[in-house]
Amino acid sequence: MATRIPSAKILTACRAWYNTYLKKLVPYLYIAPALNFIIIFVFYPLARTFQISFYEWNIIRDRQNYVGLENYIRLFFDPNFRQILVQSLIYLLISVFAVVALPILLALLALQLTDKEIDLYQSLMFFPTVIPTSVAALVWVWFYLPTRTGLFNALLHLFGVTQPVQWLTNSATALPAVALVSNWKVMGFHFLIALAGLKAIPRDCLEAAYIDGAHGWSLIRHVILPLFAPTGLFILVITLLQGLEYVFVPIRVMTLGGPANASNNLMYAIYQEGFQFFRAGYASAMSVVMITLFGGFAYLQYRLLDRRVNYDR
Amino acid sequence: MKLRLLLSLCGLVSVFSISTAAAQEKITIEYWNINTSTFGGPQVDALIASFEAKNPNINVESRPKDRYDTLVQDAQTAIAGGNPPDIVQIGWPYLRYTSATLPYISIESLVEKYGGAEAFADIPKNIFDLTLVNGEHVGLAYSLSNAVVYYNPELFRKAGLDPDNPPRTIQEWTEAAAVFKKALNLPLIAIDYSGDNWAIENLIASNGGNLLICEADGTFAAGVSSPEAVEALQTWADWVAKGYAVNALDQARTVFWTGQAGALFWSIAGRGAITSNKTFDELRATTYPQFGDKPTRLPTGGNMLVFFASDPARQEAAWRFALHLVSPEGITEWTKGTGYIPLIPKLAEDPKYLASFYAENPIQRVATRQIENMIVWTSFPGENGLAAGAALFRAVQAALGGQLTAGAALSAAAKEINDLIGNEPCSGTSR
Repeated sequence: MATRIPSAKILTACRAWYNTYLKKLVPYLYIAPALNFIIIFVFYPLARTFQISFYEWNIIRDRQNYVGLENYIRLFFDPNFRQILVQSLIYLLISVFAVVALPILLALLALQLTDKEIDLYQSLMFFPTVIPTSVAALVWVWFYLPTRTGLFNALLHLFGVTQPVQWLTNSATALPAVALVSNWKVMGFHFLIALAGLKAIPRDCLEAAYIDGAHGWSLIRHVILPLFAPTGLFILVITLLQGLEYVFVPIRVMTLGGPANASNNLMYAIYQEGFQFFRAGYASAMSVVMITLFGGFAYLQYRLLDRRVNYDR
Repeated sequence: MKLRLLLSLCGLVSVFSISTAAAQEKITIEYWNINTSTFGGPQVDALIASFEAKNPNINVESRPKDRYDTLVQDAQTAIAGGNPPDIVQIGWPYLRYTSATLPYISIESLVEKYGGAEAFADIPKNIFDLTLVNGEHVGLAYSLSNAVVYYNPELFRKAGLDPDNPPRTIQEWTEAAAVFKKALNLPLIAIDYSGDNWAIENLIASNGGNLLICEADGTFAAGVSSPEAVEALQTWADWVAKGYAVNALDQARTVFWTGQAGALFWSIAGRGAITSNKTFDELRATTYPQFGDKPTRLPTGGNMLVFFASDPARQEAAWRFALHLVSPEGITEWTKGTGYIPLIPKLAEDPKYLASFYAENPIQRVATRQIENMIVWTSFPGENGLAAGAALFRAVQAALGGQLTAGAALSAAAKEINDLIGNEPCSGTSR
C-alpha cells in the first residue's frame, strides 16, 4: 500500500525548490531573447571572424587550411597594411575636426540666431544627410572632374589656375577629396545633435552665470562646454567608431581606394580582401586588428573622457 | 443524380486544370550581367523579350551589376549561400579564377545533356576556345571587344591636326598630343581604365611584353617588369606628366564626350555609350597605335557566359537562353546595341543581319580589322590571382600619379605578384 504524502508538504517542497533554483533563473529568462539575439548576431560572428583569421579560405570552398598565425605575420610585414593603418588614422583625425569640432562650433554660432533663422539654417545644414551616399559621391565625382568643366577646376580657373587638378587620381589630393564628401554628408546630422545638446542647457544656469560675470569665452569654457560634454562625447564616440564606415561608399564610388592605395582605409581594405580577392582568412585577421584598435579607442575614451563629463544623474 | 454528375464534372475540371498548370509551370532563371541602362541594358531586355516570346514557359530575370568584380563577388557570395545564379557574364580576367574556384558547369557537360553543339558551328575555333582551361570550356565565349581610339575630328581641326590622317603609332600620338596641348591647352589623350588591367595590357602587349610568362620549370611568373612593360607604362605616365593625357579612371570617357580631350582609348563595346552621350557632332575611330613597327596585340575584352544552375530544369532553361543569345539574331541585336564584335564574324557581311549596320557604322569596321591582333586577356592564376591583378593595378596608378617611376612601380608589382601566384603550373590553358 502506497504511502500518501500530504498535499501541503508537496506544495512546501515545490516552493522551496522554486525559491532555491527557479527564482534565480527568472531574470535570465527575461533577458534571454535579447541575449540570444546578441549572441547570434554579434558574438558568434565575432568569434567566427577570430577563428577564420587562423585559416586560409575563399568563402565557398568546403576545405579551410589552418595556417596558424601566418595571416597576422603577413599583416605585420605588409607595407600596404601599414599605409592603410596610417591613412585610417588620418581619416579619423579629419573627421574629428570636420564632424565633431566644426558642427559644435557652428551650433554655438547658430545660438546667436533667431528661432526662424535657426530653423532655416538647420534645414540647409541637414540637407546633405538625406541624400543617398552613392548619389552624393557621383555628384562629387563631377565636382572633381579633372577638366575645366569640373566644378573645382572651373573655380580654380577663375583664379588663374589653368592646369586642371586631377583630384581623385593624385595621391596628395585623393584622400582629402574623398574625406570631404563623407564629412559633408555627416556634418549636418552632427550639427543637429550639437544644437539640440546646446539648447538643452538650462537657461537659468546660463543667466545665473551671466549675472555672476561670465561672458564670451569664459561663459563657453566654464559653463556651456561642461554642460554640453555628454552630447559632445557622444558625437566624438560615434565619429571615432563609425568614421571609417562613413567614407566607405565614397571610396567605392570615387577611387576604389586608389591611386595606389592612397585613399584606402581599413574598412574598405577589409572589404577588398574579403569580397574582391576572396581571402577570408586575411580579411578576418585585418578585422581582428581593427576590432582590437577600436575596442582600445572605446576603452580610452571611457577612461580618459567619461570621468570628466558631468552627467545629470 | 444531377448532383453526382455535377460533382464528377467539377472533379474532372479540377484534375485537368492541375495537370495543365503543372505542364505549363514557369521556370524562372536569373541572368547576371554588367549591362546597366547605359551599357547594353536595353539590348538585354530586348533579347530576353524575344526569348520569352519563343519560350513562354521560361521567365528570364536580368540582374545587372555595375562592374565585373561586383558580379564575381556577388556570384561567389550567392554560391556560398547555396543560391547560385543560373547564368552569369564573367569578364575574361576572371577566367582562371572561375576555373580554379567556382562550381561552374562546363560547356561539354551542357552539350552532352541538352545538345545544341550545332549553334557553335560558325563561331571561329580560336574564339570558342578562349574559355578553354585544362581541357574543358569553362563558359561560352559571348561578348568580344578590342581597344580602338575614338577621336573628335572637330577638336583635331581646331588644333591644326588632320582628322583624315589620325596618328598610327605611339610616337605619332605623342607628337600630336604636343601640338594639341600647345594649340588648345587641353590633353589630347584620355585612357579609360578602372579596377582592372585591360588598358595597361593593351600597351604592354602591343610593345611586345606579357603580363605573365611561363618559366622553364613550367610555372607562371610575372612578366610585368620586362623592359617592354616598363617602356609602355612610362610612355603613359609621361603623357600624364606632360599634360598630354588626362588621368581620370573611368571618368576618361566623360572627359572625352564633353569635349575636354581629343581622343579616347577605349573598348569598341563603348561605341553605343559614346554615341548617345557625346556633346559634339562627329565621332570617328582609328586603330590602336603601334609601338614603332611592332604589330599591336590587343587583349580580348568582354565576357563569357558561365553556368551555375544546379537544378536540371533551370540548367536546361539557362542553356536554351544562352543558345538564343549566340544565335545570329541574338548576336545581331547585341552588336547593334553595344558595339561588341559579332561572335560569328561573317554576320558582318550578311545582308540579313549586320551588313547594313556595318555600312552605316564605319567605326565598327575598325574593331573588325583588329580581330587578328586579339589575344587572351591575362588572368592571373590561382586563388590569389585577383589580388595579383590588383597589385599590378596599384603599380599603374603609382606610376601615373608620379609617386614612382614605371620601372620602380612594376618591379615592386612583379615581386608582389610572384609572391601571390606562387608556383602555379602554366600547362593546360588556351594561352
